[in-house]
Amino acid sequence: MEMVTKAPGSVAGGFLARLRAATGQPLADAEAFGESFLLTKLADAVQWARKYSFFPYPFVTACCGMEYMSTAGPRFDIDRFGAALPRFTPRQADLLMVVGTITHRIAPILRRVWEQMAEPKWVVSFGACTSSGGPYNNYAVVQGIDTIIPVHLYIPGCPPRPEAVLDGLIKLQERVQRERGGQRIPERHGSGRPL
Amino acid sequence: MPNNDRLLSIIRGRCAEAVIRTDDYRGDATVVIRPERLLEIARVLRDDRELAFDLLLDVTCVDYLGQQPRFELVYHFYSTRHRHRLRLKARVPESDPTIDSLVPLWVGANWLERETYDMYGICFRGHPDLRRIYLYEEFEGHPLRKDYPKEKRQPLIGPGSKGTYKPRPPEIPHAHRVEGMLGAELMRVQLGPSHPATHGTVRIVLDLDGETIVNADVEIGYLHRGFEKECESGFYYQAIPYTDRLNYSSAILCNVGYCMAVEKLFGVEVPLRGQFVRVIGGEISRIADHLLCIGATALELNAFTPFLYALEARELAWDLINALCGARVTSNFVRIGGVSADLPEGFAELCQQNFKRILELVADAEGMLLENPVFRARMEGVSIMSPERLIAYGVTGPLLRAAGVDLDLRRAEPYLIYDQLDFDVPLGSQGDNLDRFLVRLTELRQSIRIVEQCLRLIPPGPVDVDDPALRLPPKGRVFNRMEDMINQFKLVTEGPKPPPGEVYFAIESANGELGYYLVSDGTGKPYKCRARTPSFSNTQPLAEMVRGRLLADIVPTFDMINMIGGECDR
Repeated sequence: MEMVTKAPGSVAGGFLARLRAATGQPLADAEAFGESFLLTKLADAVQWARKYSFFPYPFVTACCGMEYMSTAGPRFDIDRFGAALPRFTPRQADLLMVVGTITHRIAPILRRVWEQMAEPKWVVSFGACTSSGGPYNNYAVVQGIDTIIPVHLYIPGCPPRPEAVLDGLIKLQERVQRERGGQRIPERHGSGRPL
Repeated sequence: MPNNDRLLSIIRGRCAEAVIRTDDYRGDATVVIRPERLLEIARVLRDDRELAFDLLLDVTCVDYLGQQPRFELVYHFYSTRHRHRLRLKARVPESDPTIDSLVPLWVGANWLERETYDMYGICFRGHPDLRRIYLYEEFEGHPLRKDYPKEKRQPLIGPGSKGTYKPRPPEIPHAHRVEGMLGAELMRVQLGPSHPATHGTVRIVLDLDGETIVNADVEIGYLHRGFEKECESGFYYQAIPYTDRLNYSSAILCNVGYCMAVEKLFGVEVPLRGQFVRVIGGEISRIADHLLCIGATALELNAFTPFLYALEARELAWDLINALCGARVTSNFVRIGGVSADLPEGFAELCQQNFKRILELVADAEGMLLENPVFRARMEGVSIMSPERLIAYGVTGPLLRAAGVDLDLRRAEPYLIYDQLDFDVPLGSQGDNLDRFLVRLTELRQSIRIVEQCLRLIPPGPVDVDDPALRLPPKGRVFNRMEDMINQFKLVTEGPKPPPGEVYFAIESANGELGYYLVSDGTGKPYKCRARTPSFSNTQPLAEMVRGRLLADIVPTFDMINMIGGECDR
């Protein structure tokens, strides 16, 4: 989170004085509050709350699911990062984790799940297959899910180890903190097509 | 070793005019027959007392492009009574690729023939429901034909799609409008393909009367990613990583099966120490697989704590695999003619330490589950199927053993060093879900016992065959000796070249018989690389197991089948 919280004595004092002048209310001195409050921007606070309360939708199809389970399991414990509770309905989720090979047959289903999720939503491409098709380059496999939905984070590996997943999650959290309501950081799609 | 000469002479005697020729190559008995006589000869194979081929393992096809007739249907049979195997082949021309369906004799032929139709365009006369199984209706052509380009895509959405895809309500051909008990219409419910208990890769379309399942249609193929096409386009050694991704929860077992099939093609045997290392790696994989199955079952029956225990135990098993080969899931550990590395230092101590903890965790999880009345009520007496019916479906592995059939290839046809080891094959008595669960629990403990024995008995020596045609020379020699450099260069750029011929080799994987059928044309690439995977055959009876039962019974039954998407959809 960007450090926009200020110690009460410095800027907050000036802020309170301005507030007192504007409202005409007898507001208490900043010193009276002691260390008991923070000032921040609403947008920052909202993003801060969002980044620590991801509700992932695990779209698990293949091998990467093994490592997804490990990441969620007791040793690596994704709960430490606030992303523990998988929601198995897209309506309740805001983080679509696409875990495992996406074939042409399941691609329309993935697209539909993504469409059913409410904004704000983020997409993680978990592993080599979802990022580029991975070891599979044939008639059946989609060569990267970014050809059908926008992707915010690519985690490399076949499958990625849980450490890599957690590292990716932290990177996504940093990105979410930088976003502002209504002003999303534009997604980069591999295909370059508008979506 | 079963006596193939006797077997072949019996078959020649029973149906002399239908048989074109027989041969016996590398211990595989093969009979080539006239395609129009298939049904008749298959009936003899199944019903004759001396033959008694009750298990139809695999149906596939080989496309000999440019030859006449073009397509060769290949059937693999096994007899659970006499423990012998047979390969049956029949050629059909491209102009009329039609052959009789074996569904009237083995119900398990249904999916296998649908797959052959999907991949090769062979029509099966008399098949009750011949439609695509892996691919979608919009797909044009048959991808495993040799004239289908590997990278020719026909996407449903996204770049390159022709816009023909329309999401539509599921149509089940065999569904008929039936009225339920209360006179109301049946309710159509879709379970999957994106459902937490179906692991994301299967769709079950159900017709429900209240909560009772009247009809179920299991649709697989959502994870079909072209295993065979990928293997055929690379050298023999390049297929090993793809075998990892067949059954990703026990990757080493899949490696072992493939490499041993290639070794059978070459006619070589790995040194004793290499065999021990393979058994150790494979059994640790089996432990991880069974732990996952147990844990996932607990999770999906809403018991979260045992799931975490099982997952922690699986981490400990993966630590061992990590020590062996540096990877956790997709190990790529076994090589043609050996293994990628010998056991690391201190491996026995690490095993001892981790096994102790795994056994404790398993005991805790077991207690929590088996003494829980909810868990027992959902497992006991649920989805029983008779052993005869399971065999007709081609089911093998823990699922079949839970029904009381003593068929474990480690015991029935010992490979590697399993004949020197002391272990039990657990058998169930009822054949319900609880038996399936208990069989896996016991097998897991037996696998630990096997690894402990192996670590005690393992002899010193090399792990790889000393054959420059198969194994890469050590790096130090590659940079210092001309011959070794040339050898490495040839192996990497041309691949090991087995003599022309074909073999089938099967091992007991975590879910049942995992067999590889390889056809070599003498080049460095397999002409045909077929994996007979247990999950495919084991998933097929699901619809029949749950018919007439409650909706909630699907989840434990599906868990106990332990369908692994990569293995089922290949």
